[in-house]
Amino acid sequence: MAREQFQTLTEPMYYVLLALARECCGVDVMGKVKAISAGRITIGPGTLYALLPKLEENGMIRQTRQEGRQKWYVIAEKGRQMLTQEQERLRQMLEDAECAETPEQGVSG
Amino acid sequence: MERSTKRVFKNYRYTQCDEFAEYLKEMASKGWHFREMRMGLVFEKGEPSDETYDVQVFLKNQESDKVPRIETEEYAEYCLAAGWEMADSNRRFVVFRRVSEDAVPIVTPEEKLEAACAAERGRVLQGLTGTLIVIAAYIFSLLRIPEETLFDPVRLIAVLAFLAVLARQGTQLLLLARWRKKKREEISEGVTDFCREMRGDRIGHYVWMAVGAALVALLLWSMRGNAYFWVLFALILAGSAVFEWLRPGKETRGGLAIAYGLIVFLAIFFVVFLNVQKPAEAVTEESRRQMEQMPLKLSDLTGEETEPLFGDASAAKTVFGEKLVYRVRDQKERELFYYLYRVKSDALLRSVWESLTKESRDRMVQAEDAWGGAEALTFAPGVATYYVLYEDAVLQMGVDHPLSEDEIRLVREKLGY
Repeated sequence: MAREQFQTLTEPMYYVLLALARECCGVDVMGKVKAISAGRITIGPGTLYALLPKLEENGMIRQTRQEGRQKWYVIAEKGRQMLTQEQERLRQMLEDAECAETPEQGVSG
Repeated sequence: MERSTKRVFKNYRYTQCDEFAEYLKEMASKGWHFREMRMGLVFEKGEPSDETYDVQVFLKNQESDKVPRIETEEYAEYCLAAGWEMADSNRRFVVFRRVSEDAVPIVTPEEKLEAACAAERGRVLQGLTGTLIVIAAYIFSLLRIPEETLFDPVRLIAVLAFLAVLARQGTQLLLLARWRKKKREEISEGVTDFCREMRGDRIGHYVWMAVGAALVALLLWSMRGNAYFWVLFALILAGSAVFEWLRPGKETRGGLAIAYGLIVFLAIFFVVFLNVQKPAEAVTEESRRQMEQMPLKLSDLTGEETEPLFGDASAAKTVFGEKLVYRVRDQKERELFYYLYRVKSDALLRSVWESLTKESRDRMVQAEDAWGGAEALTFAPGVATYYVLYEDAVLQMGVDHPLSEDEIRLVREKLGY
């Protein structure tokens, strides 16, 4: 698995990690993402089904239990760090944008 | 009585999954609801309705899968939670029916495109590997036993058929690469319904069907007298049909394949057994007719016509040249056999010569000058087997006695050398 893929998180990855802050059945992740994003983000079942093993393989989430075909996952320490880093990056981007828009800086005025 | 089910023999590529889904929707609107993929598409009669299908390419399935795997079932659970119910799965196709109004797309267009391309590429490459193996086997046979391979029209037709297949497979890969590039552009422009037939592929498909049908017909015709071939051909057809019909799972597939192999083995054994049991005809009418047409006959050497005790003759011709075979023993135990290979190319002529003589070369000596060829070899005096290399032919001959110079001249005259 290419490590580069996980240097920054894509939107679906970000929301899946958020959804797995608490243990959750894989199938239910779609609903949780929708709820967290207030319906703005929908992850297709095929996308999610392919994404979960990739995140697990990269140590971002871990499987906690399995009942029949249903698997439960929770975010792992590495995933939590990635989430924090991503939030920091987004915060920084927002701050940069706010600074750039300040008239005294002479960018947008 | 009105039919309650209908089977449609329609074949879709992985790159046509949107077209496939659209066809299922169209059928549902006519009251034919998709049930399964078993020797074609099976539909059940019902009320016309507006159904929506999504045909997915699931890469965890294998090309050989006939039923859903555990992973397919697991995948189907995710899809069901999102409003899509699995209708059936065969090979890498998984057909979903929408069961919820607010069902979200199963995958993104980019994912759909990549899965379709990967599956289609895998399918073509799998076939291409088989084709290359067959062609390599022909080349190997050509190098190892050119005297058998060069003049066998059946092998030549077969390899031509496989070369046509190879060309088709190569074209498909090129078309697929072009299609993928184009579809990526369409996706970037917001198109979501794009998995449809490649442009140019339909013409290629018809041309391929025509060439393939002609070659298969030619091959079948050339094998018309070969009982082994027909038994095998029938068994392969029946075996494929049984596999398609039963749709064995991963667990039962191995057992079924062993049982099938056993049936093939027993059938061939039975055919061989029947052939052995059949009283051997000393000289068939066909052989007698062929013998008459040969340029050199045993009677030319003995000076009298006698009834053959055993004999056969044949002439095989391909673009590479001609091979004459004549083997006769008469009632007085006199014998003549010869193989005459007439070859058009010097390189091929030399390869036939080398192949025939290489193994016993060090045990052979120069034969009589009367043979007149570029090279003439024989075994120790008294053993009347000759190998002669002429300008455009190789002669391999055996007689019941060493030939005198007059007899050699007669042989050359009859054979035209």
